[in-house]
This record gives sequence, C-alpha cells and structure tokens, in this order.
Amino acid sequence: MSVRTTTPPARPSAPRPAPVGRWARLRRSGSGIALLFVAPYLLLFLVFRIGPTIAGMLLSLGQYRINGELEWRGLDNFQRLLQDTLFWNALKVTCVYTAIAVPLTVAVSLCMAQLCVRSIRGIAVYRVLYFLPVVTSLVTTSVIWLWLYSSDGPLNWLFGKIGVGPVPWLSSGAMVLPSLSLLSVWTRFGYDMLILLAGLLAIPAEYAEAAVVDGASAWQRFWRITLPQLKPALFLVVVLEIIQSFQVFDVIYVMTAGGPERSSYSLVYMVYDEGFHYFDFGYASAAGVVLFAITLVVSLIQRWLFREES
Amino acid sequence: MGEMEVSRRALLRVFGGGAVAAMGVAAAGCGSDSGQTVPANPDDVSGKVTMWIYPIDATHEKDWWPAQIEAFRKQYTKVDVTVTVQPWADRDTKLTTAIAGDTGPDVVYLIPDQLPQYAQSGSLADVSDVIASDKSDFRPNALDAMTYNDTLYGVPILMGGTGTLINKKVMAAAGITQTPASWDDMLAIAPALKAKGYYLTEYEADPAQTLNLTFYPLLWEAGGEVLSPDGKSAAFNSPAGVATLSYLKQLVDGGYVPTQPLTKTPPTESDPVAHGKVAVVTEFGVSDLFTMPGVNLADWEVVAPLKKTVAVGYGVVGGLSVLEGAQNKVAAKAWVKWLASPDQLKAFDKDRKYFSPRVSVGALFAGDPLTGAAEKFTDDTKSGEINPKARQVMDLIKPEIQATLLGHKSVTAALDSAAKSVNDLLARG
Repeated sequence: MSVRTTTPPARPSAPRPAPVGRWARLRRSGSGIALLFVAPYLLLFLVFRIGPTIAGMLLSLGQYRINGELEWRGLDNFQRLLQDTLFWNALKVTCVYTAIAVPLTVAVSLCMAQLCVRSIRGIAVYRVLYFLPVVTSLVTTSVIWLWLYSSDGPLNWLFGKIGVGPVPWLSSGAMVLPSLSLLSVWTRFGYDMLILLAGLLAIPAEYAEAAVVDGASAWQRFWRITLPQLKPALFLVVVLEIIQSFQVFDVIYVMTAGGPERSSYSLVYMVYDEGFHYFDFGYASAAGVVLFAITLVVSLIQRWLFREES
Repeated sequence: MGEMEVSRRALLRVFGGGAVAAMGVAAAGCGSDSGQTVPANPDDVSGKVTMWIYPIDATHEKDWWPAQIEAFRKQYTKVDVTVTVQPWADRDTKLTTAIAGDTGPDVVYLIPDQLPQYAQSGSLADVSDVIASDKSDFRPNALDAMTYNDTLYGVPILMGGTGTLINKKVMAAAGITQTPASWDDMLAIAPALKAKGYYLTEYEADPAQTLNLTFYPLLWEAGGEVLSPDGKSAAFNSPAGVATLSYLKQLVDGGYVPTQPLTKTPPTESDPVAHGKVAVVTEFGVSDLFTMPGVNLADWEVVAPLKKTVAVGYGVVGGLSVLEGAQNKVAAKAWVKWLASPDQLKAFDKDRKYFSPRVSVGALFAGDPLTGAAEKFTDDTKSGEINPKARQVMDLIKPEIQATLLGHKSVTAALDSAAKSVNDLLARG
C-alpha cells in the first residue's frame, strides 16, 4: 500500500487588501485628476509669481545694472530706505490713502449690496450696471475723472451753481488723496458689492423674520443680525481693499504724477520711479519687499481675526 | 559691507534659470569691442541689424523706413536691417527689460535725458568712430548732448528748438507793439495783458512735466546752471536760481499765468494756449503749435529765446546709439553712419520738421515763417543736464518749485531744501 503523502492544502489566507500606493489613493480620492488640472496654473504661478517675488527679494540685496551686473550690497538698500525721507513720505501717503479709501469703498459697497439684495423688478440690470466700472480700464476711468476734477470741469461747475468752489480736487495737497479715494470707490465698489451680496444672500431669512416678530427695528436687524453674519465676507473685502490700496499706482500715474508736492506719491509709484525711471532696481526691489512685508502682516492679522471669529 | 560682483552665470547656477529669467537678469554678456570701426568697403560688412525708433513723425514713421532700408542695402548688400517703430509710452521700461533680457535692438533712438543712464550702465557702445571723419560738421551743442564722460554714445540725427512763440493777435488786442526780448520786457507788458483778460505766459509745474522745458531754460537765461561743472553738487540755488524762481513767483502772484498748469498740465484741447488766451509761450516748440486744435498759425511768430543775462532756450537732440550688446556692431555702426550722412539727414529732418545737427545740411525751412524762424536759433539751445542722475535731480527740484508757486514755501527755503536733497543724492554716487 502506498502511502500517498500529500501536502496539506495551504490554509486559505485572509484576503489581504491590495497594496494601496500614494498614486492609487490620489486616483481613488479624485485628487490626482484635480492636481493634473491645477498643475498648469501652478506652474505659471511659480514661474510668473513666486519666481519674480523671490528674484525681487534677491535683487533687494544688491545693485543690479541692466547689462546684467549684480553687485552684492547686503542690507544697504534697506538701511538707505530707513533714512530716505522720500520713502517715509511715500509710506505715509500710502497709509493715508488706504485709511481714506478702504472705509469709504467698503461702506459704499455695503450700502449698494444692501440695495441690490432686494428682490425687485430689474434688479439684475442694476447689478450689472454697478459692476461696469470694475471692468472698465482704470486708465480710461482716470482720464475721465481728470476731466471731471479739472478746475473748470463739470464738478466745479456744479459746485459753482450752489456757490461753492472752485474745489481744488487735485491741486491741493489736502484734497488730492480724498479725491483719488473717491475714484477708488467708483472703480472698486462693484466688485466688493458682489462679494457682500453673496454674503447677504447666504444669511437665512428666518433670522430677520424672527427679529421682526420680536419687534426689532431695521437698524437693529442690520446691526445685530446682518453685520455679524456678514463678517467673513466683510473681512475678505477689507483685506482685498487694503491690498489694492497699498498697491495704488495707475490712477496716480495718470492723474497727478505723485503731486502736488508729492502729496500723492505712493509707495508703488516710488518703486516704479526708482526702477524704471532711475534704473536703481535694487533699491526699488527693497521698497517692494517692504510693501510685500506690510501686505503680508495685514493679511496675517486678518487671518488671525477671522480665526478668532470662528 | 563687503562688495561682491555676482555674474549672471553664477546666479543661474545658484537660483536656477527660471527665477533668474523672471528677474530679467539676462546680461548682454558681450565684452566691449568699441574699437570695431566701419570698413571703407561696404562689401566687408555683413550681418543683421535691428533698430528701434519711435513715432517722431506720428503719421509717416512706419512708411518712411522701407525705402531707406532698400537704399542702404544697395550699398551694403550683405546687411539686413529691420526697423521697429515702438510707441513712445513706457519706452524706458521696454528698453531696459529688453536689454536685461538680451532681446534689445542693436541700434536705438535716444535723447539726452535717457542717454547718460544707459551709458553709465554699460549698455551703450562708443560711437566716436562713426563720425570721426567729419565730426566738425556736427553742431557742438548736438555733440555735447550725446556725450557722457567725454565719450560719444549717440550720433545726433535731429535737433529741435523752443524759441519764443508770440501770439500776435493777443498782443495786438492788448495794445502791445513791442515784442518782448527779456524778462523785464515780459513783466512790463504783463499788466496790460491781464487787464484785457489774457495771460502773459504759461508755466507748467505739473510733476509729470520735464524741467528741461520749464525751469531749466529760465535758469540758463539767468546765467545759472543746474549742477556744478563736475556734476557733483547743486548749482541751481545760486543767485541766478533765486532770480529765476522769484521771477516765476512774480508771474504767479501777479495772476499773469493760468493756475491749473501749476498742478496739472491741461489736455491740449483745453490748454489756454490753444484757446488764444496766452501771449508768449516758451515751454514748447513750433511743432507743438501744429498739433494744437484750434490754433491759427497765422496768429503766431517766433522770436529769439528770452534773456535775463543770456538768450538761450531748450532744444531737444535726438541721436542713434549702438548697444554694447549688439550682435554685429560693425554692421550697426555702418547703418548709423549711413543714416547720419548729410543726404539722409536732410530728408529725415525735413520730413519730420526738425533741424539738422549737421552744419553742411544748411537751413531746411528757410521759406517757412514759423519753423524757419525757429531754425535760426538752433545753435542757441541746450538740451539739459548730461548726468546719469539728471532725472532724480529733476524730481527732487520739481516739488520744491511747485511748493513755492503754490505759496507753501519761500523761494530760498525751497531752493535750499532742493539743493540739500540733490547734494545728498549726488554724494551717494
């Protein structure tokens, strides 16, 4: 009798999950394809945004000549900035402009958003009309406002009818920044209004209805319900406006060239002058880096405030 | 702090090509070979030349060049020339980035306001050899305007002049028969003009306006200079400078000039000059009158520049510069030499209503009552400070002049303040 020996059948092992690689996980979650779509933009962002930013920071540490020579200067450009009255004046002008333009633009945008949130006949047309200044060229707008502000322009004609003026809109050091801020309101409020409008439409109507039942006035409903609910959108708008105001250039370039007596000579205007007017690219970059740092700090503060609110 | 030269190649190694390319740090990378001169035989010259020019004559510039290139190529058969008419706007931004990116032209049109900065940055080639054989034919003030650190960096191809433009109709309306020749004459006729509702003249203190057309000519007329002869300190705060700013202040305080141009230059169509409200104009040339809407040229005449101690006016000089990074400097210089020859310049300048920097070309507008009259004063013009810091100097003086004219500072305080800023700037080197 022969003994057949057989090897015992292997114990069926518990089904092991197929090895999941990083790419497989990405594919399963859909992140892979998303990354693929984002990649071209990311590449462009790196090349045209991050690259120049880093390059600008490096340039700020040297003296660059257009024939390609770069001379290492360490922190000399920054030390020079600190002693430059022109820089401090430009910083002051930029801050004052921001302090006037931002609250004004946000207030007007909020009012317009409040008006546009109502469901009335033809409201879509109004919304489009209010957005038009945003898509109009800033240079074109500036040229038109230059005419409006001229000493014998329509605004002074109008003021003359009520016995006021002529108002030195752009020719007085005290008036020039408020005048430019008005233009900022005109060009920016449509964009901000849209963001705030989205925020307003997201507030559940029940809150306001309950408040009405409780006898709250319109102002109380706005102050106690709308404004707190709108804070995230409002913070976004404020930060966007602050960044925009810190970078003000086009309107000044077209309307005042920094005058009168450097009353509207902003930081970005100074960067432009130092770079492309005086060919002092290292110094211009140093001023740009300072502007970047200020903007970054403001953005971080906003982020911190937003987290607090959350 | 220790200084260290960093080459472009080293930057590329450290930071990678992308970032450095984004910086625009692309040096021309060519060593100086300004010793290369144009050979006598055109057949010995070959290669490609690109030139950037600007709409000097806004309507005909683009159409003008193909025929010139064709004529040049009959002589220089082995040289290909491409002329690009660039817009005036942001020309320095485009040129600097092109030079930095190694995509600049071989030849470019520059004016004295730009030339020293490009020369100092090492971007321009010495072109003395281009005109070496007939240098004496060029007007000295034209050559001075294209010379920096005793080196000629541009071959002059055109000259302009402001002269003094008189609106005869306005003068007659105010009962003035004597044409003003000096500041004293100007101040003497001002009240009569004001009484009839006219302005004596116009002064543009707009920061966008160049002082080459406004303050500097008056300073020169008073016998002053902007900077010391060595270019290392301010000279505009001299008694001549005080006299100049005081004169302007007198004009403003007397109501003899319109107020808006003190802060913002009005658009041409609403300029008081175009509206026949100004009697004497020194801030622009005859060619500007041609483009002003509503101006009747028959109302105007051109007389000599005004005088305090010397009669001198501003006159632009335009020249062609060869870039240090030019691929083929010999071919580029051959093209410039050909363009700057008397026959070519004659056609070039006459078509654009500019004056010739070459004496041998002679008067181009003898029969023209306005341009011809202005042409006579070509030798009495200056074209501004030839200094790499000239623009910064100007930008430091402008707000102080404006502050004085708007009544916010005294004449001496403004000039002293500007002088301090300018001296600090020049001391930095």
